[in-house]
Amino acid sequence: MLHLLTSEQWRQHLAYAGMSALVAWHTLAMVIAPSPESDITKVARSLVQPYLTLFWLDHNWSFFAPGVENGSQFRYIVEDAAGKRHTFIPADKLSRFHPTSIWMRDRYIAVMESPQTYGDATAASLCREHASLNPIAITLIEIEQKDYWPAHRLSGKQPLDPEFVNVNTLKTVPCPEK
Amino acid sequence: MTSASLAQSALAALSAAWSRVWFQDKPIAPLEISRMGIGAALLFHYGMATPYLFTFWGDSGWLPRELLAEKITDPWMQSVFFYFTAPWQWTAFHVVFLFCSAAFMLGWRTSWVKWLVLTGHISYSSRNSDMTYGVHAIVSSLLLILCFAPIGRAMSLDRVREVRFAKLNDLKAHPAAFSSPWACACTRLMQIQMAVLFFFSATYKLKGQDWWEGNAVWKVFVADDYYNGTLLNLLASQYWMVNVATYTTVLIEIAFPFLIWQRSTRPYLLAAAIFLHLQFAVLLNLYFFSFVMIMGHMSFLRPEWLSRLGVAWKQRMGGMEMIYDGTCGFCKRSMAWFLAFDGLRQIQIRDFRTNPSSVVNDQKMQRALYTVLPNGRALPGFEAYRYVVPRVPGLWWLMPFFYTPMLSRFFGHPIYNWIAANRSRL
Repeated sequence: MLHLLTSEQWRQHLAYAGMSALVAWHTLAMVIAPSPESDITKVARSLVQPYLTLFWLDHNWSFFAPGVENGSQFRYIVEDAAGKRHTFIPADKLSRFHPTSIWMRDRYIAVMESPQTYGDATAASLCREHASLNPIAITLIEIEQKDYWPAHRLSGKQPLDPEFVNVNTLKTVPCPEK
Repeated sequence: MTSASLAQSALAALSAAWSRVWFQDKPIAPLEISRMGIGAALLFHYGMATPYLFTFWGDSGWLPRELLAEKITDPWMQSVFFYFTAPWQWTAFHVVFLFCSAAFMLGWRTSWVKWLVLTGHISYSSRNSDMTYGVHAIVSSLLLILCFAPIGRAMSLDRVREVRFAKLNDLKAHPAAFSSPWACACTRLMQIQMAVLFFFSATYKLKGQDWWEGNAVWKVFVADDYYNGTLLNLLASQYWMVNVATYTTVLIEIAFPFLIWQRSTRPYLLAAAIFLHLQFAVLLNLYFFSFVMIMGHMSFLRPEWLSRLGVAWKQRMGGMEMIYDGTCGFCKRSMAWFLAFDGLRQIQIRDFRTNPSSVVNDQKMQRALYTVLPNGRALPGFEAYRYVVPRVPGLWWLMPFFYTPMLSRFFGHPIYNWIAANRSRL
């Protein structure tokens, strides 16, 4: 029967087949990307992985999940030539209404998670930023939040009070001499 | 019935069901709303990052090229920034990307601009993946579907151009509204994307103790990134609100992928999802994320809802008849341009040379264009346009020119009068 089709009908059938293949493929990719690993998804993932990576589709959509992590705050200390230490909290300068604030926070998270990778570059830029203080070293610090519950709030305590945080010194990096 | 004919009828039924799900003839309007919103979000988001272009994505910024080489091990992760060598290339690319985002939002040359926007967004994301979060993947997902889709055929400058071209030949021409099976397929893809996203977002939450025990919302607001002192004071004394908010979030997310498809439940689920995202925007300051998600949800708008909205708007605004001089070439060209923005076809037109009006005499008509209102009142020249502009959504962008206090009328009247007096020479 196929040989009875006109060229226009052939074109329509091919277009329909192509469109069907594309929607099936993309739907498969959308479902596989967030799926947990299993024998089935492993095979499918190996098939769609290049597509997911190339088009930046690979995300598991686990927002604030499975658990909500306790927060953390990035700080740094500038030690000047006179030995005085100046503490800075960059997040305090960010406006939550400005779209770049979320990028800045992501940057701080990256530094806290991988100080060995990003510490030197970050400290170098901070040395430049605070050149007027004549810095000799920058110490990068992570304030790691601990559990904080309504009872603490009702007793007037704050989430960043010393009893609710761990202070982790990430790295101390000397500033280049002028 | 033989097994062969059984198989044949089963295959036919399957094929019909497949076509019904994916390839019905549907208008593109819901995806055009997503296009405009996502274009605006990208323009704002990346536009505001302009002062940090080299810090965020440059070789001397947060992720120098030597570190990048360590991080990017998958050859499928690509960015045009990987191939740049001189600072001007970053600047030029950023300017072109912002221009394309604006064009994408407005629907100008959409058929190729959309691919440049997708390429740009992926390039920024891949160049510094440490700075990306969920919304960047959502934007990529929605953009790719919009790239597949035949967008730019409604609510766009491309559509304006098409209508204007038709009206240059005949001012009463109305090119048919675009609809196609492929528009339906791409709308369906975006709907599935949103449903999948909600489904996995909910199921991952259910695996966590914070969500299961109803404490998650408290923990979110305690975290330094989302700290909200006033809200914490309230929640600490009324902790049941934390439980309700936590369980409601999960409930909406788990119900959405199952109940959004039914005609009767879709309005409620859509409203709930939008409400959820408005909460994220207001309480967590996740404006970009929330706005993009809401734009994704626009794919669930039923075309008939939009039609009803259009009809209601037309009824509320009332009829408008613009009377023009059909012997004046400039008048016809400018009417074609003006009417091309009237997507809802609210404006009626009359050429007073061939069809004289009983409301405005020919002597007056030779001096200016008129708009006649339903109550018979006639507004001349600048005032005629001024009346129409806020009542026709496609012309809202002209509002600053017609409604700037004092200035619009001060300059508008003489400019219009000069053009009207010299129209035969234009």
